[in-house]
Amino acid sequence: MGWEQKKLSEELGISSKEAKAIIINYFASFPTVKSFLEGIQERVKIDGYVETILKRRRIFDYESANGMQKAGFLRESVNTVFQGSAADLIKLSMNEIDRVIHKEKLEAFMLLQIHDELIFEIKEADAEALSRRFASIMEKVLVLDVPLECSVSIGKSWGELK
Amino acid sequence: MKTITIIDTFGFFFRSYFALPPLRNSEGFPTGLLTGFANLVDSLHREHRTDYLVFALDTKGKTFRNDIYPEYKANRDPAPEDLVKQLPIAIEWIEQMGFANLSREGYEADDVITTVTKFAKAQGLKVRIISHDKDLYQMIEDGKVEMYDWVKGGIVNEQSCIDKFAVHPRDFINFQAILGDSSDNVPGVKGIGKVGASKLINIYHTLEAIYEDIENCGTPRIQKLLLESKELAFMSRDLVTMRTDVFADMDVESFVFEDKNYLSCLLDEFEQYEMKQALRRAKVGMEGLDCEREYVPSVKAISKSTLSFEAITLDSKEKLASIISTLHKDTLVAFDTETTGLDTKVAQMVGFSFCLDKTKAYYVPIGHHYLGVEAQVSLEDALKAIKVLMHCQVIGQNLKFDFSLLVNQYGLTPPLPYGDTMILAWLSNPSRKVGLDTLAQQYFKYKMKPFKEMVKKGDDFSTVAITDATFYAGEDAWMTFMLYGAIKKHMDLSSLSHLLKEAKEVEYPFMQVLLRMERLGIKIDPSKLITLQKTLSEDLLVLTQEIYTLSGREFNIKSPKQLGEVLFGHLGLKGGKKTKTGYSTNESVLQTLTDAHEVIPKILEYRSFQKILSTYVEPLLKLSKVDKDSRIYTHFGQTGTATGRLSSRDPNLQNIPVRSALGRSVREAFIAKEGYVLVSIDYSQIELRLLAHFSQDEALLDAFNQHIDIHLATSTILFGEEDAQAKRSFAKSINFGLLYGMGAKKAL
Repeated sequence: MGWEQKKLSEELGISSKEAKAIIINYFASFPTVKSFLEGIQERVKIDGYVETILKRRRIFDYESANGMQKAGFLRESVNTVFQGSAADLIKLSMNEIDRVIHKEKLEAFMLLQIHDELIFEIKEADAEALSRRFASIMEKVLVLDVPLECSVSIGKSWGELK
Repeated sequence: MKTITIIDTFGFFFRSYFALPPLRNSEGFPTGLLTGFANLVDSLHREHRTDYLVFALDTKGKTFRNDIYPEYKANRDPAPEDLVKQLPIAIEWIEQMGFANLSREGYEADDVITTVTKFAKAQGLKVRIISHDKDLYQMIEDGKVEMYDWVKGGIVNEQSCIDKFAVHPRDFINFQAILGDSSDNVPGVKGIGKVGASKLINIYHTLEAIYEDIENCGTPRIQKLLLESKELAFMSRDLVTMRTDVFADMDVESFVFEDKNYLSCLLDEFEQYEMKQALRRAKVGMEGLDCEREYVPSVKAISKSTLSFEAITLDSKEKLASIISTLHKDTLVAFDTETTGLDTKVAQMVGFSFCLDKTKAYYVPIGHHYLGVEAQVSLEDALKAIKVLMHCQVIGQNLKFDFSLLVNQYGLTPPLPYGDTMILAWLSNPSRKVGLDTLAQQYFKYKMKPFKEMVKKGDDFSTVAITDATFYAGEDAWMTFMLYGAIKKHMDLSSLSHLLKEAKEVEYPFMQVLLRMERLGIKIDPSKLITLQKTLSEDLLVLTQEIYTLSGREFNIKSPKQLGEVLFGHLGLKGGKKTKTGYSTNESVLQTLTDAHEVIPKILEYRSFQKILSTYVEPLLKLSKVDKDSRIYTHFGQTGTATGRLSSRDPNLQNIPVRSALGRSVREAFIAKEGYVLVSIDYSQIELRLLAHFSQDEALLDAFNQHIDIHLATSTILFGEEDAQAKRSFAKSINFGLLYGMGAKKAL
């Protein structure tokens, strides 16, 4: 927890003590989150890997790691579950949107992916409708126990977006 | 008194499987259970001496207990894949070492154990049962029969049974009859738990006694429960009572455990599975080998790869046709191209190679250019052949490159890859390198011919002699073919078969999506970049002068060495950290000094302007100039990260700063083509939603399902209603920070 404490105090410009109090309070308020995050780290020790939502694995050689590496593994294991699963979701979305664009020969092109964000080039007249449609594909790409939500932004340049 | 040890085999395997780390050999085959097994045999020699040894096994299929109660053991989860893989091997090893391996159809291992125990006791042997299964507690009898929990390392005797369940082993079956067992689906008496059952049993000892005196038996509620489940109670007792008649007779002498090194029978196997410790133990006392089989160290362990293939040049239309005509749609073809460069927008194909089996590979020269170049195949004939190839089951290493070349330069429409070794290797272990050379070394200890040895600096592949090119290119196709089989096998062995499916359903289609995106590029407005370049350059000039004035010295600001000397030497600022090359002047060092001297903020500003100029403005401008539509094209890396995130390079378009004004001005140069607009669609708080989904935390689930501002909700929970709004940013920081590393500045 020391590491989070340091980062949080730096980011919020508060004392390390205050940061610690916030973190303790957070985990006390969200005990399920705490045990879940600890569970991920336990799995790394036992299984030597974690899995994303599509069951992609990241392997950690926990047995032969030194202390510092072990601490890094625990952090990366949590990171991988979330970042990796998010990567899975957007990958599935991109496959599906690409399929729709080609099947229906839409005047829309998928140009870039910036992690959780997709950039399209869409015929001006169709932009509103198609972006809503693509957003809806993204929101339904997998059914989770919470809704997925997307924000849409339209502009002439990338700088105008959002 | 002699001792007989009876092993509850599957119980032991399960237990040691879960207790040991998930060991694997270099091929990825799990070896944890096998290691545990070798440890057991070894310790029977050293710590847990025994005179006789028996392994008791379950058989597949139904037992007599299913005739009593069809639902018996009906809700068992399937065993982990890794465990199932090792089981048959371990069982074979029992036989290889010459141990008795007892089982009988229709009975469980527990019945075998009980029967063996009966005979052993009759012959005056002390019985030690290696098991932690409470179903066997009924046999415990101090001085005669004890159990041993291998993983916890403790003897289980009458007292331990009483400590744990408050009943004596001799009353155990009647106790279980009431208690039931949810893991085996033994019903028992519904509503009576451990405490209630032990109380009853310690008064009455048997079911019969209980039901004879039912009107005095505990509270009215207990009586009612007992009466309701009377039949089930008796049936449950039948289920938990072990049988002693699995075998009519038994010769204990056939179970003798001799004083020899049984592990030496498994030398080859330990080597095969790379079980070093077991191998060492197996070699103890090798002079007089205790096993009939002769041990010859396997070649694999010492020598390097002896793999080889035949490289064949197909340098005429006819030769090419003679091979291509043998292909059909089910043929597995490893395919690779050789080109004049790595940018498929401009590179030309010099030749292509393919491989259909493990013994040879073909190379088709097309565009070699050197004095006295030998016969080659025309581009037209080559493309015709490639079109046929593309209808086969095409595999490759990084097919995105080859396919991108075929689309960009020759207008072909490549199929979905049948397999890509780079992607499979990455799925197998996303933290490792996935280049062909590395994989060849890793899977076959084979050293590939380095590209550098083939092509002189400044030249391209077209200058390579066709005979050399045939070996080099053929080797690539051949190794890809070999690796495809090896990696697939590795994935099967390491319980990763589900990722073969993921590759097919997600990664290969995704490769095509990325290929299209890379071809599309994104339009740049060069005039905006030129303006930005101009203002930044002017600003930098002004800053330079200011820095000179403030520090009282002219120096190269871009040189960390000179800067360090000026700041910590000349100006005498404190807090300088000496490194090998001088003082450290990285950003975090300078950040801590912002108030120490007024030159510091100027230097930070200088650095940020310089960075935007040299990392984004100038390279993007240069790239946009070479394209007729002013579009720039990034390269996406599908296998570039261990988490699975996509990467982008040449240029990297994923890391243009989002929040700074300068970053925004760079982004303003990215525009839509005429008549089009740019659209961004962004997942909001996706990681937090995943956290809610995975953790099932009620508060998080509720907040998202009710579309409440998650950070405010967190803030309310953390700081109370009144302070919630004011401290929302704290909550936001912690929400993001704790989940995926505080490094995720993007979110803040």
